[in-house]
Amino acid sequence: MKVAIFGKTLYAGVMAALLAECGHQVFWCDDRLCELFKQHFPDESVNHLLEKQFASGFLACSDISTLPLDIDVYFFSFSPAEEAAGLALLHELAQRPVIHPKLMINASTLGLHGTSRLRQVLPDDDWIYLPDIIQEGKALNSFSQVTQLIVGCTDAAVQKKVREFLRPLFPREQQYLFMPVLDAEFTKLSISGMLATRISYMNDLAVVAEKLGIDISHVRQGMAADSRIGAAYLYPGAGFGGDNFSHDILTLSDTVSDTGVKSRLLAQVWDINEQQKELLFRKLWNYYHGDLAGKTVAIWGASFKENTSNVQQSPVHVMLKALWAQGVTVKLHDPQALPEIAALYGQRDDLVLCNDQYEAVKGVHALCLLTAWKQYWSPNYKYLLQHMQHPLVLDGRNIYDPEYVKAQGFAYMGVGR
Amino acid sequence: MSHRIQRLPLNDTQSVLAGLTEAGQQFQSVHLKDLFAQDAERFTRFHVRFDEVVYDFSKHRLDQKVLNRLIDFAHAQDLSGWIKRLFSEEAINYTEQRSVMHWALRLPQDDASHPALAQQVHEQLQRMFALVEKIHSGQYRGATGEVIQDVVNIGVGGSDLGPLMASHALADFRQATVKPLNMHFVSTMDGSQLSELLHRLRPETTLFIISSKSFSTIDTLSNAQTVRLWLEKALGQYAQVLRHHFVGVSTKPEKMTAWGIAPENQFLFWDWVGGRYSLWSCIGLPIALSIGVEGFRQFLAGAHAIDRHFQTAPFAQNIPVLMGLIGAWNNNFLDIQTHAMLPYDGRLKYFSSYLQQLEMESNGKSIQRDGQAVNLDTCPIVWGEVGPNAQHAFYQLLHQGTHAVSCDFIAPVKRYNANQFTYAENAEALVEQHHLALSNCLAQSRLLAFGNQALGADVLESLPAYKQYEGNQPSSTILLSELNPYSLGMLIAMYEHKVFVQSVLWNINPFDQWGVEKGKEIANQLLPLLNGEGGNLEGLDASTRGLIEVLLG
Repeated sequence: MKVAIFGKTLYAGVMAALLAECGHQVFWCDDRLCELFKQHFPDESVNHLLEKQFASGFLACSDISTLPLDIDVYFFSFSPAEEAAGLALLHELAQRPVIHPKLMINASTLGLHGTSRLRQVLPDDDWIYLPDIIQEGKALNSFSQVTQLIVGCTDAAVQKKVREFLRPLFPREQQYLFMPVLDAEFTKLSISGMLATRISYMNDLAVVAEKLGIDISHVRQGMAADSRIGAAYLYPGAGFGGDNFSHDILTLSDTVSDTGVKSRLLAQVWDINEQQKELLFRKLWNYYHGDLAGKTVAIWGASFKENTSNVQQSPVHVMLKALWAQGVTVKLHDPQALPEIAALYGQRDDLVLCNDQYEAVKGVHALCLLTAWKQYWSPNYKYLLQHMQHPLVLDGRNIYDPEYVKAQGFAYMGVGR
Repeated sequence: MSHRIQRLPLNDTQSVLAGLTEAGQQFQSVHLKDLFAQDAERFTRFHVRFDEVVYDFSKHRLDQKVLNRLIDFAHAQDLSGWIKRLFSEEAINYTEQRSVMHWALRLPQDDASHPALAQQVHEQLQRMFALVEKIHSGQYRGATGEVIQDVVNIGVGGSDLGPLMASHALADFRQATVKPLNMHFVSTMDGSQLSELLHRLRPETTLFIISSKSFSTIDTLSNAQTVRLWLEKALGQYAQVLRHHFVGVSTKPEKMTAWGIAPENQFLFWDWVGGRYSLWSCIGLPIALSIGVEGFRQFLAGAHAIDRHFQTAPFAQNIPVLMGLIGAWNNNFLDIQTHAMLPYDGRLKYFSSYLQQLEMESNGKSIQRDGQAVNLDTCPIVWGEVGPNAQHAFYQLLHQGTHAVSCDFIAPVKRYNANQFTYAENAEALVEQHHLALSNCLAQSRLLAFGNQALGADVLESLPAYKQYEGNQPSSTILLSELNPYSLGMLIAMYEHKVFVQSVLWNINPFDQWGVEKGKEIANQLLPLLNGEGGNLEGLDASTRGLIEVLLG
């Protein structure tokens, strides 16, 4: 089939690569046409597969004006912030002399009724919703190896088209879970909500564990060993971030309260997470008895998770604001995200951006680990001890062994241990 | 006109009073409906519009001649001179040897006439604003590092009524904060509010403001002690608990230090600010926390606008002067002994209690500045309630009772017009409710003034006696273009200066309150008896002795 892909999300990249790989003729439409080749997703396997498909000719760049008129499937994957631009793009498409109906796939995270908002622009086409289930870090597999694909589509004839379109990836009938579009949109939000709830639940337990002298890591491992629970999303820490995930939780929480249903669960899940983002700050505050003015603190990690430069909804923002409000100078290191931070906060006296993680710890009163980048896992403790003004390590991701760190001569605090 | 009258010699007071007494007798039999019938221009003649305020005094039982005589009275008492003395550093609170400069609290920062005062005042304001902004940005933290989300103001009298009244009045201007922020007020010495409040608060996220001019008020210190124990029980007895959970506002830094308020949390005002005039100082911290720094600046600016008006407008156009003169006319010459405040706006719920303190604590005196007994009645009984609610309570007495009462009707012209998040979603329906309140406000002042006349002629014929309205109850109507920080600042300052005007007419000192001091002393004598710490019942009167015996079981 001829497929047109719109959007720059990781989902769009994954689908472009996978669909081209199995023989579809894929046209990737982007306003930054030539930039496409340079676009590197925070996932090596995706980038690699994309390059291969561009080379083989199954994947090509296009813009709307040069797009063939006989495209069979249109795939739209916009981020929440791009909704307006996405709608404008649809209006442009509507001007083209295309024979309708075509298969239109909304793969954007636009909250409830997102698909129907897009459908209003091109009402004569067959619209379905395919939720974004991509996980950063294992992008290709998170789609291709899913046991059952949720598809918002109830029309039998359209379902047939969908199955044909995705047959190379999902050949068997039971691999599809069809449901009405709105139901699928709500399912997508509910999945994010469930995952967030698990994290906030663990963070809540971690607070208690800490007070009781229990190591939450043991509790987590025990829980993960129970097959009814599993290991995913059980890590306590300095709070989850990321724009799509956070957006889902807020959308879901708003949806719940707008319907007048008296439920505080999701609001609390969100609140707990917001609290968690400044957990390290509060530990630091307690350690120094609220006397932080004039001190210097190193932060390792600014992105909301490792292997990405994305800093949206990252705990680093909450930490910076809290530290600055007390008159603390921050020395910040991140392997990828420093340009994002510099763009956001500009030049200021109480923020020192360090390209070397060891540069950041010189003369500081504490080291806060916020993102679990691999390069932070085995630091040179001797160097830290020699160069920090006070040997205090605050481990926001529980990546260190408390006993070992303490034995090296540090004061150590983790999350729930 | 003022120039003509200023030439009158001061000792003319007696003849002016005689003239007013005579006019008063004459007006006993004059009905408001006739005054309006005689003068089609009465509203035009008897109202003043200044900035955001309209003051309508046409529904008072007076005419131009009476008004002129009242202005003569003001001049005979040297009101102009006294206004100059008020706006100076002279110690006009002579019983306490203090100057009275609450007006200085609202001087603009760059004020040229009193630069040193303005600088002193703004230094403290800036410190307070920094605290407010830290709390609003969700960065003021308790001992555990959690963000403060509840602020409890502990104070009584001027340290309570003003902030409470203004915070409530300006609820629609509440500043949105990063984290939810709730304000609470605790005043009564019996702990009523605390017992109801503490179990709902978390020590970790609660900040207490201890507000006391002298920092020795027992009501406030007993409440402060209770919350201190409550905090220390949860958070431990550490200096940082006091440091992160207590802010003090007082004129006595050494006493705040002794209590345990950290120096950086001490906000100062001065002996020259009376307690009931202190909401413009850092005592107004709860107001600033509600409406934000810019809102508080507006609040001060409104009061400053009235300060300028009071000092410069000719008496016939001077709202506080007219309010004071008309109040004295009703009280001293028409024998109307009580005065009701009737705001037609639920946000002004605490306005009458606030004015009770302002007027009655100031002018509830009977000794003149020369030590002689007063020869005129001083402050009337001031009372009141939100008008629409009072309509279902005491208006019956106003309309058909045997007492003469004068009233102040207060209402905003516009409401629900600023798209504030608190009401925006329901603005349309709420605006209709506001119109309903306004129509009731006008209807009531009309019925009070005109009585039966306000009803249609056809109705009147068949009206039985018990359905008749006598009317002739005088009232002022104060309209604010809207109730906002600026106009509330104006409104309060209008009443402050009205009180001062009357104190000049009556030749009394409105800035002391010796009448409330003695009771505190006697209570201190009785407390050991009730605590079972012994003491002598012998010297007491039989009633008190009997009651103590009951209390001790």
